[in-house]
Amino acid sequence: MFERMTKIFGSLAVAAALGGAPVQAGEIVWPSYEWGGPLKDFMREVVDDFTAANKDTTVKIASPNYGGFFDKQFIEVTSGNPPSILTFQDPQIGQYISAGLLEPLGKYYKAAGVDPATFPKVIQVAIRDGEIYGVPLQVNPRALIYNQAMLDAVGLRVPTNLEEFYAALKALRDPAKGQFGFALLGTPVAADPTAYEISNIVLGFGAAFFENGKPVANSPKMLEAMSFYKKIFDEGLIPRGIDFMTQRELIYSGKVAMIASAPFAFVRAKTVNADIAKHLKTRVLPFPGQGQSFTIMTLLAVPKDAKNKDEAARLLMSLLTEANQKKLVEKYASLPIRPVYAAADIQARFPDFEAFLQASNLSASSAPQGAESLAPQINVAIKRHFESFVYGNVPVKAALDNMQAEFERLLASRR
Amino acid sequence: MSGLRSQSATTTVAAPLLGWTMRRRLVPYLFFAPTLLALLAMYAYPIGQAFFVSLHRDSLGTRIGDFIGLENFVAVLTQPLFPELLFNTVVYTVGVVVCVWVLGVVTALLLFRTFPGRFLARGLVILPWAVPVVPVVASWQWLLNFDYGLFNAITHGLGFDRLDMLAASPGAMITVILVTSWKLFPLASVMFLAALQTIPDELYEAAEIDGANDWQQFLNVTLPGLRSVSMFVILLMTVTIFGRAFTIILLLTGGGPAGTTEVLALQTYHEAFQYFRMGSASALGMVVLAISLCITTLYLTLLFRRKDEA
Repeated sequence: MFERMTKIFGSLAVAAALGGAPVQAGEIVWPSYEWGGPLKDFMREVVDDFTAANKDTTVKIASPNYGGFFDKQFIEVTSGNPPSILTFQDPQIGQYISAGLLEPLGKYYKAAGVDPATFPKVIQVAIRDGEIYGVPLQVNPRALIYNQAMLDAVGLRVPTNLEEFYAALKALRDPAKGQFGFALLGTPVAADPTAYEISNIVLGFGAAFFENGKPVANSPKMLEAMSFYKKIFDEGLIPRGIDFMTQRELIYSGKVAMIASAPFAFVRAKTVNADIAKHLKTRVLPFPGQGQSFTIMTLLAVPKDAKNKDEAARLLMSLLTEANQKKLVEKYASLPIRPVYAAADIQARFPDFEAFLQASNLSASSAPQGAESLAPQINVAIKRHFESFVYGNVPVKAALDNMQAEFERLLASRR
Repeated sequence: MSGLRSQSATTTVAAPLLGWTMRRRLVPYLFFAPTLLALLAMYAYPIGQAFFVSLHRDSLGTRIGDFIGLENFVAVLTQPLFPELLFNTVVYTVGVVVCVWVLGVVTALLLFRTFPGRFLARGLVILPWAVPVVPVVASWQWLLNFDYGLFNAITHGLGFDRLDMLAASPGAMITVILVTSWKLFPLASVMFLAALQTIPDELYEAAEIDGANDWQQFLNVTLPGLRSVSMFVILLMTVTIFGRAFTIILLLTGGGPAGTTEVLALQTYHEAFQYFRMGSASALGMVVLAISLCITTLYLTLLFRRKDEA
């Protein structure tokens, strides 16, 4: 009785929240915050092409806000009335796969002639026991976006290693102008964005929180990475009180010379401040990890309980056609998921994207490798211990030892 | 004719199902029924459902997990962070309730006076309460920013060190208390303003004749006159802040730095929507509800005891 009432109430509440109604035959329901994002027109074109080729199918889209989207999606799935297509950022999909909530998509990939092995390696988070459960919409690896004019003004070239990078931070710091060489997360924010943002440094230094399911939070590489973070924070070489959104605004306004960010941030500069955008260039991160960085992949998936699963899966496959992948690059300035261009082509036609494509091949998810189902708890632990040494007085080594101990406790509790 | 007579007799004989007295007794309940039904649907059912889920194992799918009795309660009460969360919640609640009460009374007293532009001022005081939380938090983040914020620009200009009000402890807790209080005080202010208008002028006149100064009039006339509204404001704010308020914290500090602003309501949200552990989240929610009930009962008991003694 309670279960039934819960399902009914949950479904009604979510339907009301997302502006939904019961799913009709042949109807694909696709609510996503991405409908309000930079790829909305691309998605619309793909949907229009798909419905034109499949006359009995209709696609109902909804564009809820990003804030609270994942909570609503979770309620919708657990109330037993999911939409046809779910949206995830890569660290989140693991829990849904573990709970058996997603439809395996291998047969659709096979039918579409698309090999996921050619995707950026972060796709691994959507693969479990040889079966794939997600379709990438976009991939956003981090590279160094720098302002050439600001570097020229202090007589420096773009840093290619840690020593040059540190020297550039010192040279570019100008308190009178409120100017900084680089911006990193410098304020307490929620757990997931904290884990994402510090992954730029962690992975950039070749470190990781987890390797093959084992915690390695207090490894020498991690100590080096986090000590560097603490050093530039304490020396006032990065602005305090800055979250990831503000970092971008600071480079667009010429207050910061370098940030580690994604292609969308680079492209957006042109619309925000064309004067600054013409000085912006990219290269892979100059940290000891040889260009390795972190990436966020937006993944789409089909829930097991969804109606019209077959149509939904085929629609998702149409995102990956060669024509649509080329459109993604040429018309919407986003990285392709599939390698649809030769390397020389990229260099010649999209020079600014070369660094992002290199980073894409080297980048990893912020999801804890081999412990993806514990990602939320791990991110909360990362936040707590990271903040204890950056904003508090706990020595870096002690904080990382505490983090490692908490990871081990989390793993033990899972067993 | 006889048929008509017979019909009439039948009508006379048929007695109403319920007597007049009984029907009169039922009327209040019938009026009350829609409200009762709404309350049951909106409060009793979700609380009952949360309690039901709290007795079952966490599950991510559509099925409720296995029945495990009080295991979830034991797990949430014995987790290492629980004492810290409870302490932070109490500090946050007491801080906000005191600030809201003080700000509410002070602004109500100011707005109660007659001055040019009083109506405009009364409208402006409502603004913090009316503005949505997200832009409020974004504005405060910028105002308090270490390198680019207005407050630090002023204090630094005056020769003081810059303050990291969002990343330092206890500065972060003070900040979330002040921002939450700023957001909520208009509600208290409006209630106190209404209450001030019910205090008879004769009481102030009598106090003046007795030689009471402004402060003594405030203590002996105004405060007792605001007593019942104060009771309501304190109770409302306590229950709201203790059990539910976390949005400002989530947006402003995410519970940081290092958990120093993490409260029980935020942890409940994490359990439900980050860890997807609905059983644990429901158990924590029930614990918070129980503590809130205890606080309310204790507060009301003390209050009514003092009233009886008076």
